[in-house]
Amino acid sequence: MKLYQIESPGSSPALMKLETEDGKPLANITVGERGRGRHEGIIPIIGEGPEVRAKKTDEGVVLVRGDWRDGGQCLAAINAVGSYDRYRSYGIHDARGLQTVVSGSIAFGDAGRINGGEEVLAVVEPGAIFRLNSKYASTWYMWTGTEWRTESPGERKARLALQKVEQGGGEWL
Amino acid sequence: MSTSHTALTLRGNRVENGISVSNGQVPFRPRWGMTRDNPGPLASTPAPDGNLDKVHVAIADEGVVLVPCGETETPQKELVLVEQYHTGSGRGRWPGFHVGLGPEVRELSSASTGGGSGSEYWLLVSAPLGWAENIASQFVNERDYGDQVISFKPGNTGKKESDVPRDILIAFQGNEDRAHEFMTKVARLDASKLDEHEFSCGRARKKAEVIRVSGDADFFLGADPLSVCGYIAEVHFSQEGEPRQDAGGGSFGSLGDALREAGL
Repeated sequence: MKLYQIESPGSSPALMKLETEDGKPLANITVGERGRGRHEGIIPIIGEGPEVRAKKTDEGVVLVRGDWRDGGQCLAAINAVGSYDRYRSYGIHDARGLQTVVSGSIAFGDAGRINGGEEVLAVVEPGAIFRLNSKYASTWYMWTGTEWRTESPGERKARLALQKVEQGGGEWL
Repeated sequence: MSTSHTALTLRGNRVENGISVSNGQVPFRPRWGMTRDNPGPLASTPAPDGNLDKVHVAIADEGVVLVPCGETETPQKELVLVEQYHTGSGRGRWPGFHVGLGPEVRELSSASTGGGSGSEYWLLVSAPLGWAENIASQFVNERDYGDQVISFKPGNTGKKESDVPRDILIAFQGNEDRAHEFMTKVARLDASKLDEHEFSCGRARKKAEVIRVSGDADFFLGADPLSVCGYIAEVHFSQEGEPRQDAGGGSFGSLGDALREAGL
């Protein structure tokens, strides 16, 4: 599976580099934060190859690199927390086709008590969709099996309306 | 049986043929205000990028869909993209454009800005033929004219020449009836009783003095006294728009001179 990263709500998913800037293999990835009111998850990476698979043990999850050819699935590190807003609902909303493997939490304030949300590593099935909130807007994410698509809620409704009319639904004015 | 619509874009006193389409949608692209909360498109369409001219309109639960129709179809209604706006920094003296929707139109969708300098609120409406031109013809896009809310006036064929001085028309934001009413009050005013000093002071004293002499608390009909007192002086203290002359040929440059000339 390919490993993608959504750095923040609204940003485009990008392939995560499995090498550091020095050219050395990445030793682990982190989800969440360390500190009061927060939770950090560390996922080690071993092996060689362009893709990864997640392997579960009693102690945690490990990513194993190799030349895997999985049927349309991918892994994604999803940060659902945007800029600070006391009351904004940060999380992965309306998700379908998403299986969380490791989760962490990101929070605001020294004690981590004035809002926050999750950052997860998840297996994404073909056809999966979910919605993330940034401070002022929302973005829908869809994984087709080969690529990511993003659209605003308004664009999504417009596309669904067009589909319905093309299939004979709707009412003529 | 679907109704064929001719597509128009209305912004202020301009009506343009067609509605712009991009990526299968009628986008919301305001010039004023912010769109950081991602207001959605106003409609979707299977048409390619460009301009929609004649369309059929379908309403689904999720939104409005515009389907292009044949060239030979005769439009029975107008589909109007109404771009209402309120100007922001740097253009604040130019009037804002707003439309009062009556029972003759059906609102299909809308989008608006959130915050920022100025604001825009767009509507997609289905309206009778001639509606857009009717609205556009009533909007006066002149500096200092003030924001206007325009409603459909059946039978209105556009602006006609007005006998009201331009500054009075601006002071009453284009309301000719009110402007004429004010001009009538000015004509009846006994200006000889106006105190020169009070009438030459600021807004509050000018207003109080005119109300005292006229006995009419609503003399100014909501206009700014500073904007219309020049008209009062012009009507009562000058002849044919020029400073009055004494017997020696000198001209009177002040209200006091005019009153003295009148023997007061």
